[in-house]
Amino acid sequence: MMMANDTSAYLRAFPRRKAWYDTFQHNYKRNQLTKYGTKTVVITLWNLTKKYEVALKQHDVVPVKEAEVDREEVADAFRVLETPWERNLDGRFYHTLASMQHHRDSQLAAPEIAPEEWISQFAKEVKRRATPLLFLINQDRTIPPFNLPPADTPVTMDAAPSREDQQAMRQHRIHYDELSIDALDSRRAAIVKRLQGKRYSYTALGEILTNWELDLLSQLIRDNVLPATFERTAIIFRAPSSDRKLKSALTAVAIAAKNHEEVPRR
Amino acid sequence: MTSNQVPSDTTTPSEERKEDEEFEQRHLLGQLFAALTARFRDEEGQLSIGVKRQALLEALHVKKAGLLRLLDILRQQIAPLGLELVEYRLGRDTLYCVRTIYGVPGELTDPEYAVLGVIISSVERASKHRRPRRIAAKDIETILVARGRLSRYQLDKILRRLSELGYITRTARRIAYGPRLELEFDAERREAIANAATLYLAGAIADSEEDGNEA
Repeated sequence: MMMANDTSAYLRAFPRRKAWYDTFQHNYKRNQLTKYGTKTVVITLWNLTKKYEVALKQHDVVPVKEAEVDREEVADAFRVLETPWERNLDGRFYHTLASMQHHRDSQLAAPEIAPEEWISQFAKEVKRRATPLLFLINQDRTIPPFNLPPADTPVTMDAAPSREDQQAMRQHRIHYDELSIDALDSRRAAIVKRLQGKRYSYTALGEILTNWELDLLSQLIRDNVLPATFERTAIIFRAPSSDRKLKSALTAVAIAAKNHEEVPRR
Repeated sequence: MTSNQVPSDTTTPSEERKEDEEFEQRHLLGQLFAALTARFRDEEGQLSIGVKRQALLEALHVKKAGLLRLLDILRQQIAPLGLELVEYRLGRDTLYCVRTIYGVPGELTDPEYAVLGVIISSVERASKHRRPRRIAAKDIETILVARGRLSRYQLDKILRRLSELGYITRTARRIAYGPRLELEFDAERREAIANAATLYLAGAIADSEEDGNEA
């Protein structure tokens, strides 16, 4: 059969295999074929195997009649095949033939039904067996609606800052150049001297320190100059220990200062 | 002349309290039903199938026993409407959702149901005993795309929608059952779909080319 011995389709599909294929033919010719004289049978077997493998890869269907002719052509090949490689090739051929049979069966299922028809009919089979879940509140939001606050809950909002507040804020804001560094340093030293080794409650701290001194205090605690231990209602200020590295405080406490004072300017 | 005579139509304090409790309970039941049938997406963008028990406890401000009692009452009350309360476990969480007993129009289109059917039948046929029940995405593609029933783009779009709606979970190569699929199609129904699908997927009808050649 002409079709069976034609490897051009295979080589067209896999151009890179051509060199390999040529090498195989050359080697086989030299080593095996002359010895046993099974050249024609093995080449036919090889070509047929490749034909079906390529067809399977491309989802093509080989008709039953053609497949039957191919099968009959190499049906008696096992009588002349001797080496394990040849026998494996024989097995590989039958495997591809069987796969093609399976593929053909599934491919040609319900050939009279058009694809759209097939989909709608099959969908009906699935649909009539469903017990769908019920969704009534049809909103695709990320937060579940039962976690949202109810609509009638009053939402507290900060009132918009008045003009006086804004002016006060503007006055309070100082540029870095205007600060007197010496005054800040001396105040830092005073804070450390006053608080170190003692325990103060939060309200007491708010009373004894002014607003910007509290700022300095939080910087000192952060930089481990004045390490502190936070309790439920109070802070214990410890002496700085140089021998081991301490982790800086991770607790945040909001303290409102009772006394307000201008930041010392230059 | 006694001014504080109790009129006959007002209720006694104990009855009043009872009415209040009933009102409170009805209010809770309403909230519970709304929560269970609410549709929302989780942090990963997927439709949340049911509500976790912990979320219900926090939202309704009740204890576990109270919640179970409420769920029992809800179960009795929605049964005449053809609805049932379903409890299932996903990982460590217990989730509740409401399901219809009889069929109602689902939210999927025909091609989506067909793809779902192909997935169900393939998984049921492939791995009876392995968990999680899953299948290679390539197999689905072979059945639907290679045979010209859907384009690759259509299939991809449908699979994405199915996974968004919680029917399936997808990885790069595999498709597994999602929680919603197992809730909507129990084991018997899945088996029935797999049986029905053999008509559509395998070669039940004779090879037409062969017939043509013989004639």
